[in-house]
Amino acid sequence: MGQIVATSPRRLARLAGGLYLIVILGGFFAIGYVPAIIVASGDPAATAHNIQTHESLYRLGLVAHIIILCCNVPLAVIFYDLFKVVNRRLALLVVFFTLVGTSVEGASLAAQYAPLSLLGGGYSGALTPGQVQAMAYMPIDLLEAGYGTYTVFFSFYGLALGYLVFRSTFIPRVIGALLVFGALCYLTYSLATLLAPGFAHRLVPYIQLPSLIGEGTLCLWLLIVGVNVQQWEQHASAATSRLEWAR
Amino acid sequence: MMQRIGKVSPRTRARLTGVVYVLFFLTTILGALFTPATANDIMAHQASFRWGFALTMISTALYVALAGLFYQLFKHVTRTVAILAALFGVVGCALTAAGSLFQLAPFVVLEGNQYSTVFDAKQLQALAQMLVDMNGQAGYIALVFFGVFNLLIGYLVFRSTFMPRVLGVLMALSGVCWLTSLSPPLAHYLLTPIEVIGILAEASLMLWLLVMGVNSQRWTDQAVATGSGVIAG
Repeated sequence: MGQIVATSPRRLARLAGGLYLIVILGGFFAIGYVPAIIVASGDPAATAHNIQTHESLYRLGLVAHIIILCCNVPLAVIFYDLFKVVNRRLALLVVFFTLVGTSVEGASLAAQYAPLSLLGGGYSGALTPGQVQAMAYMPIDLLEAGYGTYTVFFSFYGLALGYLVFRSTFIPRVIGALLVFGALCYLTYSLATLLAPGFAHRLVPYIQLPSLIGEGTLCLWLLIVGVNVQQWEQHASAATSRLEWAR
Repeated sequence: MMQRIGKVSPRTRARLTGVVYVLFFLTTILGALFTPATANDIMAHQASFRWGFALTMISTALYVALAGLFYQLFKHVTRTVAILAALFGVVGCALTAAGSLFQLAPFVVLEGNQYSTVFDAKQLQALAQMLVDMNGQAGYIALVFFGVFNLLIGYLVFRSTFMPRVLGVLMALSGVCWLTSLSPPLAHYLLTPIEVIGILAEASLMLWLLVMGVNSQRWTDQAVATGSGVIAG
């Protein structure tokens, strides 16, 4: 308890901003850039060829993905420490949604190694090249469904975090509103991906812009401005007196 | 809950952590021994294969408990780092459990009649082998999180005043070793030294907790020094 008060909220905010930046940039690389180079939509043979010619890039994308998942964990702890003065239970909810989303996302990654194993050449005795390519394409085809699944959890993370930012007084309200709007877009896109993929495709890329703006603004604000320490401390002392009163 | 645990001495609690640690260690090693490395082994050793799966599940559940017990043990050293370690441990366990799906999948493919009627024997073997490989990959992903967990626990042991620092150094070193699983070819190349350091670090910490526990007086002193003992005590 003593230690956390000793760590300045501004320093925590900066750290969160830095981690968030890694998550956003890493996410852009792993979830946006690499699949754009590798995936030839509906063409297993071309996709297999791309994976083989850009094997290092493909592996790097997976490693970047694991690293951003690792960054999510300290990010959750810092957000808890920053926002527990606003509403402890909601701050805890942000942590739990982050953890579940991170676990689901991490679990979905193992399948992305299957194309490397299949295209490695060990299967040519049993399967025809066409069969190997079709099997290697299946995990790639499931990328969207995987994204749709874990993004549901991150939508609720965004809703809770947006509310906390909105109520915080130490970060501008507009960022909270942007986060909530972004989270609703995430949720719409996830559910559309799982229920009506054709409709989801028509929403891209506009549906992704609000989330990027919301999270991007929060990230940069935390990194450059930090938090209003005076307002934060007011919340903190109010929270402490609530705790004492409850006893 | 807090109060009930608070009444047990830090040494007893440390020993309890040691007991859970030993059980985790044994179930993990047994589980690994029972888990077939290739698809060929699966049908030949059906029973041991199922034991391997069950033991992995049990060891994962024990690890969740261990993450909580380590938090209790180290929360007065640096609370934020203790929480961070627990969360990395929990995510690692979730990934291990989800990855175990690939441990069962080869069996489903090889045993089910619906597959053997459409794929020939060689193709089934290939499918099963792919799933065995994916089980390995899932393990590598979880190991990254356990690597960070070990690093953080190493830091906490090192900064604590109630356990020998060398145990902390060893744990941190094993954490760095597990992190090589970010690059599976590198991890595979360095497999033997990584395993030796990992087992040495974890076995020392485990035995120390089991036999010596912690220095109760110093544990309480550190809790008071950080100001957290007053609230949680």
